[in-house]
Amino acid sequence: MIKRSSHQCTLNSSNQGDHSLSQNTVKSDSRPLCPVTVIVPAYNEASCIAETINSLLAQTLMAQEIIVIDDGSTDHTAEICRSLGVTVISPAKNTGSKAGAQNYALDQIQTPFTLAIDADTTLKSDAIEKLYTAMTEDDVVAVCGFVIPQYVNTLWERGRYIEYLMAFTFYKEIQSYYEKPLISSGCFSLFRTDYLKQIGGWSLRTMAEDMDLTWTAYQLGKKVRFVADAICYPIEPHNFHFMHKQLKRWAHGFIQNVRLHRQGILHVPFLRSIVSVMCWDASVASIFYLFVIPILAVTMSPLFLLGYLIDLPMIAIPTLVKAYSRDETWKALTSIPAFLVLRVVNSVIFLNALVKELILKRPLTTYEKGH
Amino acid sequence: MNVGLPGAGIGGLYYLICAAVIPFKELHLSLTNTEHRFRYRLVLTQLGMASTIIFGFILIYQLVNRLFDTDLSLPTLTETNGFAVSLYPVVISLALLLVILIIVELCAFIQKKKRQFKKVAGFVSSNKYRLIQKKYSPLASSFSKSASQRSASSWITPCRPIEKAAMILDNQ
Repeated sequence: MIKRSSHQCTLNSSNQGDHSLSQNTVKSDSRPLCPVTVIVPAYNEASCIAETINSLLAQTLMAQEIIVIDDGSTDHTAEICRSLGVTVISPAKNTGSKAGAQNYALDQIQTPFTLAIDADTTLKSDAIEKLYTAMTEDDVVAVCGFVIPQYVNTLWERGRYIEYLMAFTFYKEIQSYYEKPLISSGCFSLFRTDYLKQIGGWSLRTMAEDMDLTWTAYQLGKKVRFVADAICYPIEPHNFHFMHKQLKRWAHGFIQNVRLHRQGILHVPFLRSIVSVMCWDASVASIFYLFVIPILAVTMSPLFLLGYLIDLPMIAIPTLVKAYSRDETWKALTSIPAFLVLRVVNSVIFLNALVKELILKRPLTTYEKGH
Repeated sequence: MNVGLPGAGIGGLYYLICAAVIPFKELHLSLTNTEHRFRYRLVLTQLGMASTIIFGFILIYQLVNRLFDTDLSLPTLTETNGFAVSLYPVVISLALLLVILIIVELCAFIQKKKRQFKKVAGFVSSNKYRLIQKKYSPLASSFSKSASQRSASSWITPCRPIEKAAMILDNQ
């Protein structure tokens, strides 16, 4: 286990594997520490957890402790983590969700700040530093960063890449300006530990615990910040099977949160506006993409198919602005068609979730991993 | 618009308006708060993006009109240098957005009033129970207990975790 105290880092690992530990350990000696505990819920993440931990160990501002919650993995997740020198804790049985695993670790956190990160998410070397420095005021309880997919190869990864660039460059920045980022992303966010403990940790009542946590904060008069320079790179679903699972969870989670918080968020200016507009957009856009446009195109004129492209400036401009600054213009340009496919899939899944949650009264209650 | 959810129509328009308001908000903050520094970079970036998006929309409309030699069967409201720019979709979208926002604000207002009313009702009922307690002291002890609880948390439903948390935070 890596124990850190004021600019020092000593190694006490029982099982050192072949991962790049020594370099990280040496580097950590001269780096400042911050009172942050990183928690990484993991279930069968042997293929990617080493990269995540290495990126945590390579931060410019070191976290005081890194805890991996091995949530009943059947692969070598725990062994890999131990070999990298981080604390590994294991619940007696699989908790059934990411929130469950995070809550299991919450009691053991002694530091004033908790960083929640997914097991498949790597960080830019200064990401923790950027988030930590944004925790300025006492009423800021959560800070989130910019999300960019780690791999951008398949159709689904490309579609998600465009979604992230667009949403985090334009929408999230505006939400942030009005002090109401819609979600403090579950894959990478810094929280005040006492706040987490006071509200009982990550809630299990919806499929989108990050949205639940964020909206709860606003209702309690707390603040959430977004730091565009703090960048994380999660692994996004690479095929339809996993993308479907993830989108299903997100769509159900959104509807569940709207139902749960509908009265509470009415008292939060700006949030109530963006949520209501989003509800309208998601429902109506889905109906338009799936029914209205094809019917009009068949019965009246094929010109109506342009409806699928009519909001292209809305998608392309923020995306290209960010992509240009990252020197990824070509990648972004070639990925835009994938986004157009992805959003039709989004529409199908959202409408399906809407019908199940509101009409059939069959809410999604089982947490399924999205990759 | 959010990651994983479809649609950038009315929502997109709402964000464009929000971006357009940012310079004025910044100006207001700079004038009223001496410690506030006008965030030029943020204002320019967001306003620049919003303007380019609007310009992009106009360009697309014009492109469609030229390519297909049609005005999409929509009546033209303005003419600029011979190019027909139909404002109908924009007007309809703006009207729709306005309706949605007004409904939400109305709901918020009604709920606020309801809460205030419930708080007052809770206070009145607690006084009423105090009177009952005086008159029928042995019988009213249980009433008085529930009444005092009610006055402390007049609108709070015990099973709601958010409100529980709010109480904890308030007590601190």
